Amino acid sequence: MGPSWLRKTVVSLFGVACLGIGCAGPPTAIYSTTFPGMDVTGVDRVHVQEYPEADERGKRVGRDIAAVLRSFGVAVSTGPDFERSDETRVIVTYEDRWMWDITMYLIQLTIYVRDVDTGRILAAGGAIRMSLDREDPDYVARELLAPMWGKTP
Amino acid sequence: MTARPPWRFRLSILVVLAVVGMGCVQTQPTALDMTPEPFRVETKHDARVVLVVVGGTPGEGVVSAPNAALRESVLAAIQESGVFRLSERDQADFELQVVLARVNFPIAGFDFSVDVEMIWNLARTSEERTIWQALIATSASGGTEVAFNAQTRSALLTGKAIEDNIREGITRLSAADLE
Repeated sequence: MGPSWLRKTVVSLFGVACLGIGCAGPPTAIYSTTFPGMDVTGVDRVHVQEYPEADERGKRVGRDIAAVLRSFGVAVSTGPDFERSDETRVIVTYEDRWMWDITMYLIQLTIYVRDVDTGRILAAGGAIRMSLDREDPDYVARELLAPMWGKTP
Repeated sequence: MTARPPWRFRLSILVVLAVVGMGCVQTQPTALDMTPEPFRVETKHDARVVLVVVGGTPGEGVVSAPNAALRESVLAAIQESGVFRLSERDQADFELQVVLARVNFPIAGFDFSVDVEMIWNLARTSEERTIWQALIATSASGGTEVAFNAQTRSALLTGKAIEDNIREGITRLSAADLE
C-alpha cells in the first residue's frame, strides 16, 4: 500500500461512500390497472404522445409502445400532441428512466392511457425492473399494455 | 504474534460499518412513515367506501413502498379524517382505488429527491363507474441530515412524499362532488 495519507484517504472515502451514497438495487415491481367503467379493450385508435425532451432512447420507447399497440390491432399515431388527429380521443403518455450497469437498461417505465375529452386516466401501468431482471422496452411495454387491452403479454 | 498495522484495523472497522450501513436497516417506508398526522377535512361524506391499493411492491423491497403498508396508511387517514366510513366491498357505496403510479426514486448521491405520483380514483360500486379522479404529484428532498444511511434516507423521503400525497388526496376527496 502507498503512503499513509493515501491509505487513510482511500479507506475513509470508501467507508463514507458505502454509507452515504445510494447503491440501492430496486426490486422488480409491476402493475397494470384499468379504472372502473373505463374499459379500453375496445379502443382502436390512440396517439402515443412523445414528450418534448425525449432523447433517442425515449423516442425508441415511444416507437415500441406504438408497435405493441399495433400488434393488438389498434391504429396508432405518434409524436407531439399537436400532431394528433381530431378523431383520436385517447392518448398514451409514458415516462422512461434508464440506468447504467455495464450497459444502459430500462429501469423504470410508467404508462398512462388518457381520455382526451375528460382528461381522466383510463388505465395506468408501471414497471421497475432491476439490472439482473432487465428486459427490452418492447417487452416491458407489452407486459404493461396487454392486460389493459385484454391480451396475453 | 505480530500486531496488525493500524490501517488494516481501521479498514476492517470501516468495512463492517459499511456493510451495516448498506444493509436492510430500513429499505422501504413503513406505514408509520407514510401516515399523516390527524387533520381536518371540510366535508365528511355520508357514505361507505372500500379501499383498493395497487402500484407498490407486492412484498418487501428496496425502493417504492409495499402495498400492504400503503394500504394501512390510507386506511388510517380515511378513518382519522372521517372523510368516508370504511366498509367491506359488499356494503360499500364507493370503491376508492389508490395507485402508487410512479416513484422517481434516487439512484445515487448524497442529496436525494423523491417524486411520487399517485392516482386517486373513486367509483360508484352499484354502477362500476368512475365519478371522480385526481392525479396528485408530491415530492420530498433532503441530504444526510435526514439519515446518513442512503437506503434509510431514500425510504424516509419516499415516505414523506407519500404522506403528503395521502393528505392531499384525502383533502381533495373531501371536496369531491359525488353526484
